Amino acid sequence: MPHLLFKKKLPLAHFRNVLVSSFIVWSVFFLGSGKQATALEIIQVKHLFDIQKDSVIPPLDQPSAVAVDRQKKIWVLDGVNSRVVCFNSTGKYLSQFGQKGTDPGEFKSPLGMSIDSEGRIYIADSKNHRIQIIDQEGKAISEVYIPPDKYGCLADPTDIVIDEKKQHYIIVDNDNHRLLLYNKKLELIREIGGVGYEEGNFRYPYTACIDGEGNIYVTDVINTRVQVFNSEGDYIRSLGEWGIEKGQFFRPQSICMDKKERVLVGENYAKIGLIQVFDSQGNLLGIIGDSQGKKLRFKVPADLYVDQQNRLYVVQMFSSTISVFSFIN
Amino acid sequence: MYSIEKMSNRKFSLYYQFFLFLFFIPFIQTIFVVFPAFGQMVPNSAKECAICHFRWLDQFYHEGRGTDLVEYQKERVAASEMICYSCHNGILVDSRERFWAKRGHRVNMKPSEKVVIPEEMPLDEKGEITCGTCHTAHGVADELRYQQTIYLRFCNRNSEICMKCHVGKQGGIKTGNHPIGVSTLPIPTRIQDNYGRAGIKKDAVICETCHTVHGTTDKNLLVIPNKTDDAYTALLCESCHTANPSIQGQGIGIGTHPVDDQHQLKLPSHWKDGSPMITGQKGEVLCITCHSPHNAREDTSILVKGAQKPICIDCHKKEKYVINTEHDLTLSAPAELDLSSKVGLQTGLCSACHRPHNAEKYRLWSRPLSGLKGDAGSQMCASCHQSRLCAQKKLIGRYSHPVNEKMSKVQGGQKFPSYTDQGQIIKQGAIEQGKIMCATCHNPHQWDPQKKKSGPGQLTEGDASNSFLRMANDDNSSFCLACHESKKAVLKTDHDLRISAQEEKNSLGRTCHQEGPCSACHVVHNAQGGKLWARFLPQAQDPISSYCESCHREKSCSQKKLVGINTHPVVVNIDAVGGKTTLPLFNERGKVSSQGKLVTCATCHNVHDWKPDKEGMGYGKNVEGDGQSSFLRIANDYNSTLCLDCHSNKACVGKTDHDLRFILSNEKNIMEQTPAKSGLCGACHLPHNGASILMFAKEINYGGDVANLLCTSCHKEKGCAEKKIISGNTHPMDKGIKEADGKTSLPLYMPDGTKKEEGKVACASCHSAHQWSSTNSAKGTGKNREGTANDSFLRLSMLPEPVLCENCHTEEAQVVKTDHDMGKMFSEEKNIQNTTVKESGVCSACHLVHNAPEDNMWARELPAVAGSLITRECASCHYQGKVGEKKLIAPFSHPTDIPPMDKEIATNLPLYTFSGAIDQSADGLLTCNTCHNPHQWSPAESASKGNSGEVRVSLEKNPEGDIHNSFLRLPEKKRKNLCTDCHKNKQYICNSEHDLAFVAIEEKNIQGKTIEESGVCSGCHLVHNGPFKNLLWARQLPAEKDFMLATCLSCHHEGKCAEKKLAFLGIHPSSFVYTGKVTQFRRMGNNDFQTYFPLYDKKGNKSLIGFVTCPTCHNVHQWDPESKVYPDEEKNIEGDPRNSFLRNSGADFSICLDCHGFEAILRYKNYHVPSEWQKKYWKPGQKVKIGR
Repeated sequence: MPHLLFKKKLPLAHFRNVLVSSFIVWSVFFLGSGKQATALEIIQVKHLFDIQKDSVIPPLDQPSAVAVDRQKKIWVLDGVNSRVVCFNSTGKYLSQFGQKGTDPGEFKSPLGMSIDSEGRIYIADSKNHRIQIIDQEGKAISEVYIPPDKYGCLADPTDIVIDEKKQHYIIVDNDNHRLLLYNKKLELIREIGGVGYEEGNFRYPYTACIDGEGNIYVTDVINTRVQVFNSEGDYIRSLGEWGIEKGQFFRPQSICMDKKERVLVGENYAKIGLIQVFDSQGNLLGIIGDSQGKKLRFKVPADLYVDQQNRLYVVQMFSSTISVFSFIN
Repeated sequence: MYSIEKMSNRKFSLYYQFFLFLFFIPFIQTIFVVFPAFGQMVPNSAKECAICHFRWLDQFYHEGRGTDLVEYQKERVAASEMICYSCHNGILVDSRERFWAKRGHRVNMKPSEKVVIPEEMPLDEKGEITCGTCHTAHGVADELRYQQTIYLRFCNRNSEICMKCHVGKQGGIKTGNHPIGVSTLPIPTRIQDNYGRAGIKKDAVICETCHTVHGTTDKNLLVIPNKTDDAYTALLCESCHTANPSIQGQGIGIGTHPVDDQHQLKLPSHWKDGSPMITGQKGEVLCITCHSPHNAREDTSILVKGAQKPICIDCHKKEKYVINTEHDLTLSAPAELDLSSKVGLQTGLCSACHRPHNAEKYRLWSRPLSGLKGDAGSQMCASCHQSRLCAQKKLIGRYSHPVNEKMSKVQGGQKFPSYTDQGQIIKQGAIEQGKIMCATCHNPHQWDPQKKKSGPGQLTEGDASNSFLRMANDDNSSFCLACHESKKAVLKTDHDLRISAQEEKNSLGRTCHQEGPCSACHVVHNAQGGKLWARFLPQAQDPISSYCESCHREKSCSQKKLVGINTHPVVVNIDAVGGKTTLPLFNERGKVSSQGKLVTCATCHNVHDWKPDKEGMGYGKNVEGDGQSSFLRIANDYNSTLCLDCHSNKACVGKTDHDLRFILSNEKNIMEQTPAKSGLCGACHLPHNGASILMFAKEINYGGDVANLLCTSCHKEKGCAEKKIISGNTHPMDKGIKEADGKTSLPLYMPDGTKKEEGKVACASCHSAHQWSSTNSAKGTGKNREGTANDSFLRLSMLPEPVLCENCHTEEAQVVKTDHDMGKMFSEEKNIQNTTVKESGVCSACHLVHNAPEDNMWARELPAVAGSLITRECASCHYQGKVGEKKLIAPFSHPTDIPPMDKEIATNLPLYTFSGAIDQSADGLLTCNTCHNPHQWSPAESASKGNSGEVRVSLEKNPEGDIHNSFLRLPEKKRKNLCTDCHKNKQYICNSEHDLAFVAIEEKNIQGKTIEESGVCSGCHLVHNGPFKNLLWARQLPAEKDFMLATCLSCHHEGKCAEKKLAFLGIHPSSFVYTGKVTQFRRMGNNDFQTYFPLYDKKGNKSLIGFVTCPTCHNVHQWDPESKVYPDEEKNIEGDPRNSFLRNSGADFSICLDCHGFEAILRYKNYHVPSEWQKKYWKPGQKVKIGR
């Protein structure tokens, strides 16, 4: 401990201790003044139901993504089991498809998933380095092989977002620290970013969502921020920063946009496990909590999804549970 | 885990730095506030640590508080499992499956006694294994990325950390462990997908190739469990060691010991030492049945410790009897090397021939098979039993018992094993479908079939009782007959040499008493030829004959039974007699084959069975055979059943006049057998030792064609068929078919009796001695009766149409239904034998095949008229009072019986001798038949034409003929007709103005016929019955003394068809008498030109002293002397001095000069001005043509 050492080495320690202590207090006060504490608002949600690990055979094993189609069927990507599982809107098991492999309709460590308005399922088939488009019977419709980066590093697609208005597909290439924009013909039209700390660059981007204008929100996990790009892929701004204070991120893994265009960001580290809610400019609006006003902590919220009914789906990867909520206000 | 307390003892100077840092914090913060971007551009080192070391965040570490997001973290742990998970859940690396879904190396337990934990691998305070035993957050430096070092305490690229504790698992096969560090096989994807990996060297096997510390469900941490659902599998081993690494893709059991396969061996449950034998769920042999990757027997192929030596005999118990036999190479060939270049003493007893892996393709063979021919069994045996190999003393020779044949070919084969193509034994079920191989008879692992024990221990010469045979072969050949049961019948017959030739030795010098009766003719190995023949094989027509003649020949043991020269042929194709038989047929190699068609000795004889209808063996003594025995396959009885099995088409001879059983029951053949004794066929034929060709059973008088002599052996004076003798003028039998129409389907014969296309007509050409009726394939009635045109053993019918005659005389057969068909015209007319056509056929009206009174086999009475035979033959009908009297030839007709060559006329039409034979020589006579073909009504049409069996179209009864028919030989064509075939230079009249068909088509001749009806020549000439002898002129002549002029005037006259060409004013004087000098054309050389200007007498006869008349200057048959073609076929053109039927061109005065000499032109020119025509067309020296 430092003060013990002072005793041994510095006989005039008392004066200096006072001086140093005042410096510390002053500095802390000064440093802290930039982040004036305000009351943390709880954005209340009502727990509707959980899709439990054992609701399907074999049990869910660390699922990574959820999506809901127009028929309100809930699709869960159960990547360790290399499958997609379908539940009805109340969480009752309906069907499943997929197995481990490299052929069409097979997966290796899939992580991300989206569903378009026609019910086609887009799977970020990470270790197969491709996006697979699959119908709801599990039959592969087509696939897009994501090319390696300029250094030859194989692609690692972890999420795909469908912008039906712009007719774009946004693919997150995690290992290569980039976003890829594809047109409706599934042709690559732009590559965004690269490894780095700078604006527009990434360190392990993981997932993304879009707002009503097509702006793209990407969790830049190791850079501990959410970066925002316009629909053309130009950088606009960032949300959040490194830290564990409110509005800051430690492991921002999941993200989604609710019907009020609020940005929900999930912290995956289990000690935190919160979902913070921001406006589109990055101002913290609150934290998801229960109807009692208590913050809800999740066991690794690896994916978030808000459906047409404004129901919030939280994929708790570590507990292999999908929790479904409705916003109270 | 690392606690903060372990970070102790910092240097004093650090505190100064720390305080300086604190002092400047506000200023640093100011910089960050003013230049916020700077903070983002520079990596935050505190963040880089705290991103994992969560507890080190300032709020916890320095301020001792929590935040709105997270509570204060009291526990001083550098990082937790969830921190790992927060990145390894897919954000950086997706380790969900490997670390959080499956099992890993055991922790929190004390290490077992089998491992040695080194000091540098710390256990926890309880002495238990923990993550930190292998891992540290700050691992050793390594050029590999963190993904491969994974925060380990030591470099582990070759599983070094594993081996630090698991010390007994290395050393390779010497220490009884699976080798590590080797890289002979690729690490398969299946291993890699389950987190198995190679060492630094590509494909190098390390501990973590088969084991994975994290990410498996197997308790032994195998990447692919070798036991699932309580059943062992070979999946892990076979991932690298595919079914056969050396011969990939050829399946289990080929080249490697079968695994994963159900088998019929009863495996022991434990090894000899009592350790359990690991097998699959259904008792399958697995890799780990024999091999143990760890704790195996030292210095072996990691074989399990508890097995016997060799390990094979724990399961393969019966094979252990090979020890101390000649097949124990450690005894018989101790220096022999196997595929791995090791001797038997090195590899073990079994390995001399078998190796469980990387073997040759059959039965795990460990000896080189490359280059060896034959089936699997032969190749394996030949890998020793071959020249210059270790068993070269025991070779089987070129001719040995067949192998690679289906066991189903033999009876009783199910007693012995059969094999698949790969040499796999078929023990049950489908043995018949398996193949015979060496091991069918031999058990290579047991020397003596009657003693289940090891060999004698020394090299001994074998015999039929041992020699690795599966069954002893005794003096009754029991072993052979066990399969070849049907051959048992040979025992005690004449072919059992124990009965007929006891002392006879086979090619190996053995008697039947030594080796059994089969050995007299067959030896299993080293035979003389096919069928494993055990005797000397003489040259013979075919292999089967050779076998038979090895005994049945002079100076051999069966010389009493020879077949003679005139014997049933062998190597003949069954198709020659209809192609059907129930008897066996052979191919050229002497083998019975469904494709074979050849008849051999063995077709009729079954050498193993003395009597066809007797079951069992022979009589045990030598007996004389007959048609009921004699090793015949079918008894040759009264009805000659054996013969007729092939010669079924000869069965119709029964009960005909040629069946002597009924006709001449006392007639004997040369064997002095009556028909009743010899049977139906035996009266005329003997299968062996016949008197002549066709194995004739009767003596013949030599001289003449043999084919006919067979017939005349009976059909002769005082012969048994003397009532039917041929004499007089009969159908020639010394000519080939070329004398007729050149084609026939009837048989022709050479003088020696052989049947050949180039042969001559013989009796048998028309007659089939075995079938009475040509139209009814049936036996006779048993009654001798007179024949007709439809039976009489004729090959083809003669009624209602002459099919038999037509077969050779196709063209002549066209006479049917013409006016020369007597059946049509005069059905009651009889020939000289007093038969009608209805009785004896249409040809018989004019021709008799046998016994005719005249040449040409003429069947009619010849009238007493002068002339050649042809003329008389025609007159036999076309004569007053005869049936053809309506068609008589009057005196003014074309002359006959004259040689055309006298007038230098050559023709393609037939000419004849005076006696009626065809003669195209200079002496050949023109006869009626020169122009007429009495057998064909119309030369151009085929109304009456037809081949055998066709229904002919009947012509109108007695039609009036014209130029297109009338039995003329040639059709009427432009320029080509019957007349011009002789009178060739007259053909150019066609299409000229003298062709009445061209200029006066309606004009009729004196007989009232148009050109269309009677031909172009008939406009002016009549062939028969004209009113004028000279020129046979066909037109009415005007009253004119000059005959030739009169003939011209018959057209060129007022009121006649050529009245436009009247030329009688200023006509060249016709009464001028020439002095007799022949004037030559200047254009000599063309034979078609006449070379003189003919003179005529008043009667129209050519005369050297005569009158100039029209034909003197005009050639009425050719328009242009220089051209044979009339210039316009469509219109009548105006002539000029160059043509106009002149004999020479008048254009340059040639025709005048020919007679009047050169000065005539001078005279002419002196008095004549050029005509308009000359002005227009003619210039001296220039050829001028008008028209096309």
